[in-house]
Amino acid sequence: MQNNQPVSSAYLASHRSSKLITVLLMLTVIGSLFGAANAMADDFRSFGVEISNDDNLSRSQPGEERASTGLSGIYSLGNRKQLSDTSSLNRIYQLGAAYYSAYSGYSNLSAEAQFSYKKKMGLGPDAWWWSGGANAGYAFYSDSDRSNLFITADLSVGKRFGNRVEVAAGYAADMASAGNVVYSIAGQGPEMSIDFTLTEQWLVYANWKSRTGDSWMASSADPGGIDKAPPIPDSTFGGYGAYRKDTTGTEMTYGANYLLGDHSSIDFSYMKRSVQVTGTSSWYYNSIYLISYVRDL
Amino acid sequence: MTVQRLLVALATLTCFLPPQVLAANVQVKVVDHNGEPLEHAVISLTYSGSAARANNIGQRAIDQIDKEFVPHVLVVEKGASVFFPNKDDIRHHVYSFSKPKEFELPLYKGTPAKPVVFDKTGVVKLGCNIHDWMLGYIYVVDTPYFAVTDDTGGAVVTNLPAGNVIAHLWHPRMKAARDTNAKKITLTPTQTASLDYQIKVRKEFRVRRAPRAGGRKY
Repeated sequence: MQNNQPVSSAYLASHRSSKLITVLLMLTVIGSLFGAANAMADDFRSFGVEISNDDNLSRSQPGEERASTGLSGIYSLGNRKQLSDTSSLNRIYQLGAAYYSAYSGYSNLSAEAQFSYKKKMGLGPDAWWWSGGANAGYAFYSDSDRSNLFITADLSVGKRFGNRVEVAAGYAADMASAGNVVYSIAGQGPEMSIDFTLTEQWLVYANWKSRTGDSWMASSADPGGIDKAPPIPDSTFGGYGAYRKDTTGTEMTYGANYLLGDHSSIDFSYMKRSVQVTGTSSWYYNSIYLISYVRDL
Repeated sequence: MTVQRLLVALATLTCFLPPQVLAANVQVKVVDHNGEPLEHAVISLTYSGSAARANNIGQRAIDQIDKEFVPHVLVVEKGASVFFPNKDDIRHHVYSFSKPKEFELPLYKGTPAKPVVFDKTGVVKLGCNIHDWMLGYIYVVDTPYFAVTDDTGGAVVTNLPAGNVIAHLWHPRMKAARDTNAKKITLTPTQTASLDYQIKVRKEFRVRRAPRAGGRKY
């Protein structure tokens, strides 16, 4: 462990509460706008449950991985305001809870607001479209050092080809500002996705994403490279140190979605994430299996 | 002589009966290639020669309810006017690219003041530019005699004049062309003819309405 600089608990507490107030204010303003626009909007509410297994929750180097199964529930409500014949503003608000069986410090509650603008470049489902969006939220982790304000933004373009294929490509950026700066990270990179409708019920998809930026990692030894913040002892993964490093990584997701009806579906996916500490031969890998169910209420 | 008089009297009487009393009916049952009842199949009957012809041209409507077209399939006679009332509390944008009738009703609520006139026969596929999963059909025919099957796969065309008839079957997902299913029948007064069809249908790959994990796609 190196460069471990103590930060006063009073400072951390005031820092966290000011972020929390900011998020609550933001959600209140958003909620008011949502209510005002509701009369002409396309509303929805949905609930989802998800079971995941991450073979490297700790984001450790090979041989040190700590796996866990997670159970999550997400409640969403939102609406779409049609601004013109071809453009719309989508707003979604989510409350989530995630429980991890093996490492309870990673369990969390979250509140999130998503906004996106979508423009279709013509008439019909095959028309080109582009979309720009952002979401912001706060996650309250059981290990409060990890609790963070997170923001992502993305810009994407896509098109549906015939009845079966839809492709999209874009660029996304993310940042998180956490109680402990080790967990404050930022990154960006391109992404692509393809959906293929296999049968009337089954849709298969693949998503690819590349990301350059900071990552936190928990390891028994320093993975090398540039420290973006002084490392700290990781209380969630006892005995490991938490590092913030400059990294480059890719994510590949393969999934299948089964239609249960007009208002619900089940999703099965596998994601492989490979992240390299910039300028070193240190990597961490995640394999994440997910089963989720979403239903409109 | 008495019998002859009786027959003449009966014949005279039938001239004054309403046509419905002597009308024929055609009862249809449609199943798919797995034997499952097929809803939304359209049976239309055309007469060879100059059979009596009722006028079924008028004003019809296809609603938008809970972000779906209702009914899913509407049959109209050539020349009919169709209204598109939006019964949702949100706006829809109805359009069609189909050759028999290309049209667009930009973003609206309520019922547009003017109906759309369908003056060419054929299939008009409807969509909503806001809700891509919305799909509906208007089937424009050149006859007043038609019916659409319900969820039991059954339909009845009533009040048909006697004569030689060609029955045509169409379904939005039918693999074969419409005329390969044509059947000739001869209808006599008061007859109820039965027609059974088993047809191959394509799978339907509509844009999905259901939510997916990881966010809602519009």
